[in-house]
Amino acid sequence: MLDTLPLENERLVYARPRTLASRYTHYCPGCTHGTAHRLIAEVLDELGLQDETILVASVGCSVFAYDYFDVDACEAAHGRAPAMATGIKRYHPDKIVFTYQGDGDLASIGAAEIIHVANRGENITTIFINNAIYGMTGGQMAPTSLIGQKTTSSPFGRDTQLAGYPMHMAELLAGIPGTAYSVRRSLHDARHVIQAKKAIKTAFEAQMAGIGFSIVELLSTCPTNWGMTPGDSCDWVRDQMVPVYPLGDFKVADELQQARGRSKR
Amino acid sequence: MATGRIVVDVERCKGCDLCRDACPPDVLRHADFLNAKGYRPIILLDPKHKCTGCALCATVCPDGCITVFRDIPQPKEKIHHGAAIA
Repeated sequence: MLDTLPLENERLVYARPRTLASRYTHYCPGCTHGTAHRLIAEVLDELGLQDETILVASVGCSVFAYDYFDVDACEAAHGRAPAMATGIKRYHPDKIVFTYQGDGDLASIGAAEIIHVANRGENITTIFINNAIYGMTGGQMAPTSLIGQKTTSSPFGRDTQLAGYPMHMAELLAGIPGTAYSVRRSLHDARHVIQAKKAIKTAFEAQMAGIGFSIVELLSTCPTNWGMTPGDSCDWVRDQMVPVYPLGDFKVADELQQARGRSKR
Repeated sequence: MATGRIVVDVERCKGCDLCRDACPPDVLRHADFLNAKGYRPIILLDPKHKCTGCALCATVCPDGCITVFRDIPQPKEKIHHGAAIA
């Protein structure tokens, strides 16, 4: 076991969050799934919600998320995590329920579930990982792939005549009345990671206040299927993805803004 | 300037280099050994004690394998100018 206690004349600045299980992840080197896991775990630690939280894992690279978080968890069928989370939240309204979904799961096969969960204003939180590709199945084109992006199922680049345009889920869900909080953040460098953590915390606070459905879309990397080094894929997110998927707050409910304003004062 | 140090869980590290890109004083290097998973982990190589304990490496680490410590600044002993120091 590592010596993770401070020596004399030293203080601990950062340690691995308690809510993150000690198991090694199966993610590829540099995959920002791990960063997203860590941020969620840090937020749950800070809000003291570890024993109150139920995770609904999705299908995709994040399918083993229930092994990596030290919270109660449940595995949903492909795309159906919001539907399962609805049932869990309605039966346990005092628990914190969140889903962790990728773009193949949320924007493709689960598009109906996520739109209806938002439309019903279910009081759950969704963390949406957008890496513009199907990761686990070998790098096929996702609904969120960029125009002209080469994937194993679009070897000449995504053709809009054939496959349409990239899906902007955060904007789409912001247009639905039941949504309380819909934002997009990125995980490509330290500054944006810190901003993403703040957004995740706000999303969980919205659920604690019972305001409605909250979603945080996180632009993420897939170095293996993009065929890049981890460093280059972070640059690709910055240079190619952020112009297509602008970062920002697309909907912050009035009640949430008032609550945030109170806490700042 | 604050000083600090990091401890890397070398068995958990996958050598992705994101921390190395984020490190302002550039004191992180790959180890010359492989861990059990076959990756060359990151280690702190800081002979001049340039690590500031800023925790940017831990902020970007996807595998949560970095623990960061910062030294508590000690009050400097007063040196009287002109006094002979034995």
